[in-house]
Amino acid sequence: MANSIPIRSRQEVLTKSGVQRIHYVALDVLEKTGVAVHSEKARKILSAAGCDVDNKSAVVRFPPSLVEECARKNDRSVVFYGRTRKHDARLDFDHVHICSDGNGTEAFDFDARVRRPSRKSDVAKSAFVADALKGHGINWPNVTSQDVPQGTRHIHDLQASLENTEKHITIATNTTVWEVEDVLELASAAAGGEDELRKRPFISSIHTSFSPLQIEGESLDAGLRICEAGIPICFYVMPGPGSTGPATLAGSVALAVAEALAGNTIFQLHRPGTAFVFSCGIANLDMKTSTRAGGGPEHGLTSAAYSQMAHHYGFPSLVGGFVTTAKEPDQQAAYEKFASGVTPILAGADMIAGIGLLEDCRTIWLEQLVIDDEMSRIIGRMAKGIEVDDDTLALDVITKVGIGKDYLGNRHTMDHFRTEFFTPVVSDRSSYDTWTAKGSKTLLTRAGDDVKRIFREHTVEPVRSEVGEVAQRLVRKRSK
Amino acid sequence: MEDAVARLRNAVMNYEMETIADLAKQALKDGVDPLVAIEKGLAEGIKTVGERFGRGEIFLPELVMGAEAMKAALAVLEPAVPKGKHRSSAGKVIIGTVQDDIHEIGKNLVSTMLSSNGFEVVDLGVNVPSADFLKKSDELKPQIVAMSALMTTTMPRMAEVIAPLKKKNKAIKVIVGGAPVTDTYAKEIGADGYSGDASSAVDQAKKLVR
Repeated sequence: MANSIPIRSRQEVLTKSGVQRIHYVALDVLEKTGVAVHSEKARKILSAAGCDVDNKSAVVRFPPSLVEECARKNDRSVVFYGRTRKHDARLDFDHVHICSDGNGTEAFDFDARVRRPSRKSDVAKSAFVADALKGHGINWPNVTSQDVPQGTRHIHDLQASLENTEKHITIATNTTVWEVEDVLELASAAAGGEDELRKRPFISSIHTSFSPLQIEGESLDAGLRICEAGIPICFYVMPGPGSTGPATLAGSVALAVAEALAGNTIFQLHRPGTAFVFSCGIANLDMKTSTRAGGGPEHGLTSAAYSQMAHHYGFPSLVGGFVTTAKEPDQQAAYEKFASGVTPILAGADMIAGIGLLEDCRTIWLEQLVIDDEMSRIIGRMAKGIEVDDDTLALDVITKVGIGKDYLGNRHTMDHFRTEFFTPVVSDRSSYDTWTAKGSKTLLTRAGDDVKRIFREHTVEPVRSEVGEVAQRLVRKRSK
Repeated sequence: MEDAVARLRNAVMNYEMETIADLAKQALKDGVDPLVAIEKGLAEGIKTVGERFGRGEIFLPELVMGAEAMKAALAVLEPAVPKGKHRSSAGKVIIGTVQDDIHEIGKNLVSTMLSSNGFEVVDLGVNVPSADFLKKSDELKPQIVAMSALMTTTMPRMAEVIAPLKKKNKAIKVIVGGAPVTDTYAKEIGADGYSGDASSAVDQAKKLVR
């Protein structure tokens, strides 16, 4: 199974009545205000199912009974398959999977030490480093290839990802039907055929709404096409409290839920049983700088609340976390990422996207992937909680060791310390002398050392040889 | 005979503290030289364990369990060593936590690390009166006296030992440690070495006996 955090006791952020009231607001919005659905194909499906459709304005009003009925049609046992079996992520509502995130446009060059536009090699390197991380479960390409011809990015991004990770790949660049056709062809080549891909879809596809209450047509049509191949859909909603959503978090979560339910209704009507994942990144606008405050404490809260709503209906969730607006892997990066990551993990969101990037999901630092992985494992330990049984209570051991002795040389210590204690990879816990003797290395240097170790030691199962050929052929076709 | 020695070495390396005493008894029964069993078996085994710990390959409980296994076998083998014969050692250390202080773990770790690196360690325990450090040094003639203090209120006890000790025997080396102790403080009270953790205590000790 894929790397994940088991949840022992969930720390939810909404009360039962809070969940109910958000649900009713979402239904009210869908029924009375509706959603502008800019896809003729989708509007036809919705009209046939009994929605009130105005083709001129593209606004669709949803009967609550239809929305609720479609919510029950979702696939209840979603698996995000890995390219290899050991990385299969079962979204069973009891495990949190940490994802890298998400199509940034800048990279801090690990060797040249400069910030520059992201390249295909950055997609490859970040996927490779993330593949080695023990806390990381799912790969959402950290950045996108910008050193390739226009119209071929989606092919290069997927090829670089397939070749450098065995983990599930979430794709956010399926914005047109023709791109989807390419992606399906390339993924099928990696799977060994279309049927194989349908059996074990190791890719998923992200489609978004445009808050408030709009769904763009081309991207939706692309989603409808790819779900026909059995590929899971992550429907990403991102109202920004105060800008594209109400300033109050409850209001923005309700708006987000409305948009997600509208999306689900369309997908379940088109292909019942589609694996539909409630996905969101609800971070407010900073009213001073007019930037998105992804690292704010509100982001973690909305992620947790939205995930709770998803689980209320029976959908798995993919939510934002580990986000920061910091420009370097500094203290602000650490506390903002921790603050936005801790709430959704403790709430038990199925997937949390965000590790690796700085500047509000814009810039990849390979060191940050390693640091964020460490942070996610720390929070993972918090989420695991305290297990109480005869063995962990250790009465016989306490009795045996008695008064004034120590537990270090005890078999019980040996049997438990590895699982009971979080073991740091890059955090330094040595004494001042040892630290200075080893060169007084900062966290960034130690994380860089670990990145180098991964490049030296890690290996990734090679992809089928057809992948390179198919990618090349598709690139030639789209370069014309 | 080779096999019996190798078995003891492996038992230390595999932390078989519950069963190693039986192996040691069997070795004696089979006519193995106890000194060879100690030096080529136990000492080699614990040295490997210590090196692995130093490289970060294994964890503290494993190091301590290796030492526990060694101790269990030593308890059987040592009494069988003929009078007049001695184990070779990297040096003799007496160690203890100073008077009015009963903190033990740090001192025990240093003690374990030193013995796993070939030092002969005499542990005086905790709450050791300053006079006892002096008396035992006279008696046992160690190369190093190691003292631990975990409280700012008991740190001055270390100075209380060092002055008369050095007066009597200039050659004797003193190392100090414990959470509140710093390099500066160690120098101030005339100690020869200070270490902030168990691993660097070994480096200090090795430097001082060289």
